[in-house]
Amino acid sequence: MHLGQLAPAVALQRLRQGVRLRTGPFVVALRSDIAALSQQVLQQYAEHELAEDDGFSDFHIRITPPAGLRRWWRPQARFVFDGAEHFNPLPLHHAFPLLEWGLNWCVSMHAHQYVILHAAVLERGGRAVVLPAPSGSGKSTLCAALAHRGWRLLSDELALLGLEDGLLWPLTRPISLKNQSIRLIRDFAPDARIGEPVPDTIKGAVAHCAPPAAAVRAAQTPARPGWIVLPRYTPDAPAALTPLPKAQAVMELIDACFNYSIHRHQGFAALGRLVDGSDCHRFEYSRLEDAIAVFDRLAEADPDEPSVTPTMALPSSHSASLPTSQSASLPVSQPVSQPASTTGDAAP
Amino acid sequence: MPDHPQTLLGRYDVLDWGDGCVIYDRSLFLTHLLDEPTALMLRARLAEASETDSPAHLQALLDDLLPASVTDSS
Repeated sequence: MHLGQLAPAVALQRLRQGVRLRTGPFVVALRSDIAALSQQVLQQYAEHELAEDDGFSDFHIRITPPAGLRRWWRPQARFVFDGAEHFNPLPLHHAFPLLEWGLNWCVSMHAHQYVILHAAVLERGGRAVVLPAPSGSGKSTLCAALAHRGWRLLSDELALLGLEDGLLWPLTRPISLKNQSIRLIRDFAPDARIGEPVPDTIKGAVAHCAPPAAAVRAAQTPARPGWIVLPRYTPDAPAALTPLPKAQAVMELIDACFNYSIHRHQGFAALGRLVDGSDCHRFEYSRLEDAIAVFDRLAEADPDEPSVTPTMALPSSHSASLPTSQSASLPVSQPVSQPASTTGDAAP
Repeated sequence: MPDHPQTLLGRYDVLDWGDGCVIYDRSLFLTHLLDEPTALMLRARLAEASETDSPAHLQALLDDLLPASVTDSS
């Protein structure tokens, strides 16, 4: 049964008492007595499966107002994980972004059965495209657009790479849109379920876009690597792919990896296999329609063709382009970029 | 095109696609990107080292090729 199949009143009561939601390979035990948050959870996680009541939960999360004055005066929301608070409280109306950011932190800090990358992942024709990108690159905007144009969403923020199988595992959750991208995706995909923008977060205005139902229902199906594409929004730029040397792609992935220092040489080997099985590109774009066309051409290309793909470019027109500045994407700890030619964890 | 890294001296994992080379150093937990000219030099000297079959020779050339700052960071 999915959360959205419960009657709203029942669902709200279940959230107050604690509900167990399956998201990708994880079960999240979520409890909140903040009504506004629960309404957003119902909207954004409506298609997510409810796990059985007595099973194992990977993450126990409670979003709750603090005790005392802050419950009433400038009310706040606290993120409680396994009974402990790891972050400062945020204003109450930031409760849903707090849940999403906190859950990103839970996964990236604990799910070390995977190599975890700060990257969006989508799939088409059985092949996954990994989109690692720094904050402000237009990754989530591109991800939302692709997810509503025939690409299956696996994740907007965290790519889960199986250490042994080399597959990309879904973590199909809401897509975080920021600032002008909110309106842009509303216009681009009118059917998208986008929550009310939450103003004045550390990233500016944030709104979440619910993952398409089909993607959530396929969230137990991994995909094999197909492409690694480093997107970058550039005002007025034509949509263009340029080949990325594989050695350089490995270094880019290491910079985007949350737990490379934990996996060490096994992580290096896993990232090497990911790159080995992928065509690697940089991608510059300004118009979403042009970007989609380039990605569709990628998906239609014969996967057995030589891996070096010639530069593909589409002309750019200047309407409906992305905002010129986009805010940061993850408030949790980011992988730290290393010097140009060398990267690694602390010395032993 | 490598399926798995080639491991040298039980310490260095090497991935080489011919467009540059990445090396993971298991002792220092550091990853190096060699540009193509340096990777070419490494390939040539690895061939020499395999002829002499000397671990000390191989270690010396890797010490020589990998950035000095890496050793300093240990």
